[in-house]
Amino acid sequence: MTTEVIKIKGADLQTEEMILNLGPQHPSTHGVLRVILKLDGEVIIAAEPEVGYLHRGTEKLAENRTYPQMLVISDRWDYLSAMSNNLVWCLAVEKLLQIKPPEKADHLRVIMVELNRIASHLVFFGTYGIDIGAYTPFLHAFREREKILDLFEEVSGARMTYNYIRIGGVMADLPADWVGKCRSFLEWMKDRFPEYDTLLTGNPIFQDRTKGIGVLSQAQAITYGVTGPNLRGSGINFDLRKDEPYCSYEKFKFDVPTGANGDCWDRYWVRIQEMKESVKIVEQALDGLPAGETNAKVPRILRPPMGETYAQIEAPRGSLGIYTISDANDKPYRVHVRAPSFINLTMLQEILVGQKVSDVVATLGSIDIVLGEVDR
Amino acid sequence: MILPVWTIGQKRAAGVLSGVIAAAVGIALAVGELPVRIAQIWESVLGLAAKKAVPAIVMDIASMVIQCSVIIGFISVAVMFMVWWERKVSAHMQSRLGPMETGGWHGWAQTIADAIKLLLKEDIVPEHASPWVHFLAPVVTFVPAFLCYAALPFGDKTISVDLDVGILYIFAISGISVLGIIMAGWGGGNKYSMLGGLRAAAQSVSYEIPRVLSVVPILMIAGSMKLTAIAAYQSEPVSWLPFLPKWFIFYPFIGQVSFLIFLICSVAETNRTPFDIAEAESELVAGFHTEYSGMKFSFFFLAEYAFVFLSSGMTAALFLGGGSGPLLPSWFWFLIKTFAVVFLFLWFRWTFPRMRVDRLMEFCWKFLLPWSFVNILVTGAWLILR
Amino acid sequence: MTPASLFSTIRTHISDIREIPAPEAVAGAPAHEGKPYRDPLLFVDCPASKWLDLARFLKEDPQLDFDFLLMVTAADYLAPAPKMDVIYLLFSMKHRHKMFVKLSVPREGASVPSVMGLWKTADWQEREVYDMYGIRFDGHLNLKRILMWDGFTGWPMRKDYVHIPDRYDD
Repeated sequence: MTTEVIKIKGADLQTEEMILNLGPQHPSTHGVLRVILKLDGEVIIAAEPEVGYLHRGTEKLAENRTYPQMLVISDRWDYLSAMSNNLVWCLAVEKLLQIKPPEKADHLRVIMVELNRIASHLVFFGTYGIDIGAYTPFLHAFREREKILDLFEEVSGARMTYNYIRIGGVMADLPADWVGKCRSFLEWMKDRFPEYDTLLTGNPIFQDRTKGIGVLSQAQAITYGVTGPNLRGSGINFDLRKDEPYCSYEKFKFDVPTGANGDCWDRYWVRIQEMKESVKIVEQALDGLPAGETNAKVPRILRPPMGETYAQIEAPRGSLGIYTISDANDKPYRVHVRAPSFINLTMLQEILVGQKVSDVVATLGSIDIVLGEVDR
Repeated sequence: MILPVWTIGQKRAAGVLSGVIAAAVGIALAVGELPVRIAQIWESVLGLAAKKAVPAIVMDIASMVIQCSVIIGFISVAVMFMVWWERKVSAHMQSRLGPMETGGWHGWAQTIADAIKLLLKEDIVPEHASPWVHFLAPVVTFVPAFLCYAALPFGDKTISVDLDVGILYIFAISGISVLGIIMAGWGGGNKYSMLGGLRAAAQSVSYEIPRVLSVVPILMIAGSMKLTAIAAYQSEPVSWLPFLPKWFIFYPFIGQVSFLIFLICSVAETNRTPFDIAEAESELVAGFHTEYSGMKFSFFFLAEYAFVFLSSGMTAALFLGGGSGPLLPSWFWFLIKTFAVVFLFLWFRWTFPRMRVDRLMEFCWKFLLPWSFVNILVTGAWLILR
Repeated sequence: MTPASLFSTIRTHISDIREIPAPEAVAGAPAHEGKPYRDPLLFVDCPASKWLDLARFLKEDPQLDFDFLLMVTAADYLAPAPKMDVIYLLFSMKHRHKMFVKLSVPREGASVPSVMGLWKTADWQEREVYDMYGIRFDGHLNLKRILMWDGFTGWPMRKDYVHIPDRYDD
C-alpha cells in the first residue's frame, strides 16, 4: 500500500488555472470596477481590469453644452476633487479666450484646490486603512473631511459639486468669517498628522502589508503614462505645480515628496506628505490674499476663437488634462478629458503579475482611482 | 492643555455610570462570597426536598441542570453586554457615539433587539450545502465554549467542577471548536468559504501551541494544573516586593513574556483582529460563515464572544490573581479583571490592521514558539537555582 | 527644444510631415470673437503609413526623447471635408518638451498602426478611440471595446452617430 501512495505522489499533478472575478460589486474596489484574475494557486498570472460601468458619455454631452454649462458636468469626473476638475476646464477655456483672471481669483483658486487635495487624500487614507483592515482611521479622516466640506459649503453652497471656480475667476468672494474658520481648520489639521502617523503610518502590521508590494519601477511608470503620487512614489520628481506652474503656484514655497522604491508604502507615504504640503500652501495663500476683483471681464455668451488647446493641472490623482477644439461657436467642437485614473489603472495589469491574491486589495487601493474619472 | 467643559449629557452619563458602579459594589458586598451563599441556598432547597421525599438522584440531576442553566444564562448575559460594550468602545475610539436609542440610556437594549431580529430571520440553506454538516457546524463551534466554563474559577472556590487537570481540560475542549469552523466552511458548498475555513483552522491550530506552552512556566511554578490552586498561589503575600501582589504577571521576564504570548495567542484563537482573516469582508476570499443567516449566524458570534470571555477569564485566573483583592468578594474582583482583559481585546480590534495570512503563520511559528521555549528554559533554570 | 527646432529635427528624418498652421478666422464670423487662438505647442501632421516610423524616431532620438505618451484621442470632421483625425500628445520627461502629432484618416475603413509596443499607455487609449470612433489599430493585441458594453453597435463619438435602440431601451 505504501508503494501505491508513493507512485501517486510521483505522478504529474494536473494543475488548472483558476479564474477569480473581483466583481463590479466588492467592498474594496472603490467603485464599480471589475478585475478578472487568473490564478495559479495563490499567485496571480494575469490580471485584466474591466471598466466602463460608470461611462456617462461626457465627451459626447460636451458637444451640446455651452462652455459654462460644461462646468457643471466637469464636477462629476473625479467627484472627490471637483474643484480640480472645475479648475482645469476653466484654464482650458481661458487659454482659448486669452483672458487672465485677477490675482485674487488665483489665490482663491489655489486655496480651494489645495483644500480639495487634502479632502481627497483623506478619503484615500481612510479607505486604504479599511482595505488593510484598520477600521478606525477612516472615521477620523472623515471627521476632518467634514470640516473641509463645511468650509466648501459656506463658500459655494455644495458639498460635492462645487462649481465655485468659474471661467474668468471664481463664483463670489469669501464670506466674512471664512478665513478665520479656514485658519482654525488648518491648525486642527496640523495636530492630526502625528495621530495618523501613530495609527497607520507607523504601525508595523500596516508597513508589513504595504512595503515591497506592488512595485512600479520608473521605466514602467513612464511607459504606462502614470502621473501624480503614483509616479512620485516611484521616485520621479515631476509635479505640474512646480514644473509647469499655473494659477500663480510659482509664488508659493512647498516641497514635492518622492518615494524611493515605488511600492504601495511609498505611494501611501507620498500622499500623506502631500497633505502636509497642501496645508502649507493654503496658509501661504491666505497670508498673501490680495484685495481686488474676483472675476475678469468675460462676455455673457462665450464664443472662443477657432483653435485647439491642451490645459493640464496636477489633480490629486495625477495630471488631469483637457484637450478642446473650438470652432468659434458657443459650444465646443470636441472635448477630450485626459483622465489620470483611467491611465494609471493600466499599470495594474503588470504590477499584479507574480503577486499573491491577498495583496490585490492593497495594490489596487494604493493606485487611488475614482471610477467617475476612469469612465467619464 | 485645555480642560474639557462637561456638557449636560456628559454629566448625566457620568452620574448614571457612577450610580451603576456604586450599586454593583453595594450588591457585591451584600451578597458576599458566593460559595457561602450558594451553600446556604442549596441547604434550604435540600431541606425542602427531604420534606417532600424527593429521591437523592433527582436532586443530583437537578443540581447539574441548575448549574448548566446558570452558566448558559451567564454566558448569554455576558455576551450581550460585551457586544454592546464593543460597539460603544469602538464608537468612542472613532469619535462617534454608538448605540444611543434602543432602551433609552445609551442603547443598552441594542443587543437584545439584535438577538430578537436574528431569531426572526429566515434560515437560508444553500442548495449545494451538505445539510447535516451545515446544521451541526454552529453547534460544534459553540458547545465547547460552554463546556469550558465548567472549569473556569469565578473566584475563590466558586467553580462548577474543580478538576485536577483544569487547564488541560479547557485547552483540550476549546480545540474542538476548530472542527466546527472547518465544518462551517465545508457545509457552505462554496469553494471560497471552504478556503476561508481552512485558513481559519490552520491559524487556530498553529496558535494553540505557543498558547499552551506559555502557560507551562506557570504550572511549573505553581506545581498544579488546578485553576483554583493557581489562583490561590497568587493571593499569598509577597516577600520580595512588599507593595506588589504576587500575581504571575509581575514575575520578572517570565511573567511578562508568558502574559504577552498568551494574550496574543488568545486573540488569534478567537479570530479577532489583527488575526481575523477568517471573517474579513474586504479580503478576496469569503469568510467561513458566509453561507449562514439568522440564528446559526448568531451562534458563531455567540461562540466567538464566549471564547473571548473565557480567554480573558483564564488570563485573569492565570496571571492577574484570579479572585484576589481587598474588601470586595472574590467573584467581583474576578469579573473586574476579566472585563479589563476583554477591554484589551476590544481595543486591539479597532486599532490594528489585519495581518496577511502567511505573515501570521510566520509570526506564530518563527517568533512566538521559540520565545515560549526560551521562557520555559528560563523558568526551569530559575527553579533549579532558587 | 523650441517648436521650431523640434520641427526641423523631425523633418530631417521624415520629410513627409508638415506643420499644421494656425487656424484662420472664419469668414463672416461675428467681430467679438477676436483672432484665432494659436497654441504655442508644435502641431505636426503625419501620414498614417509613416506614423510608426515617426513614433520610433521621436521616442529613440536622444535629442527628442519623447518617452511619455500623454494622450491619444481622435476627432471627427464632416465639413469642409469628411475625415477623422487621430491626435497624439507626446512629452519628454528628460527635456520637458511637448508636441502634438495628428494623423488624418478617412472616415470609413480607417486603419492606423498601433504604438502599443513603444508606449504601453497607448493600449487602453487606442481601445477607447476604437470604441468611440471605429478606427482600427493594426498590431494592437487586444482591440475590443473598453467603455461601451461588448455587444454595442455603432461608434458613439462620430458626428453622424444615431443611437440604435437596443435591449437597454424601454
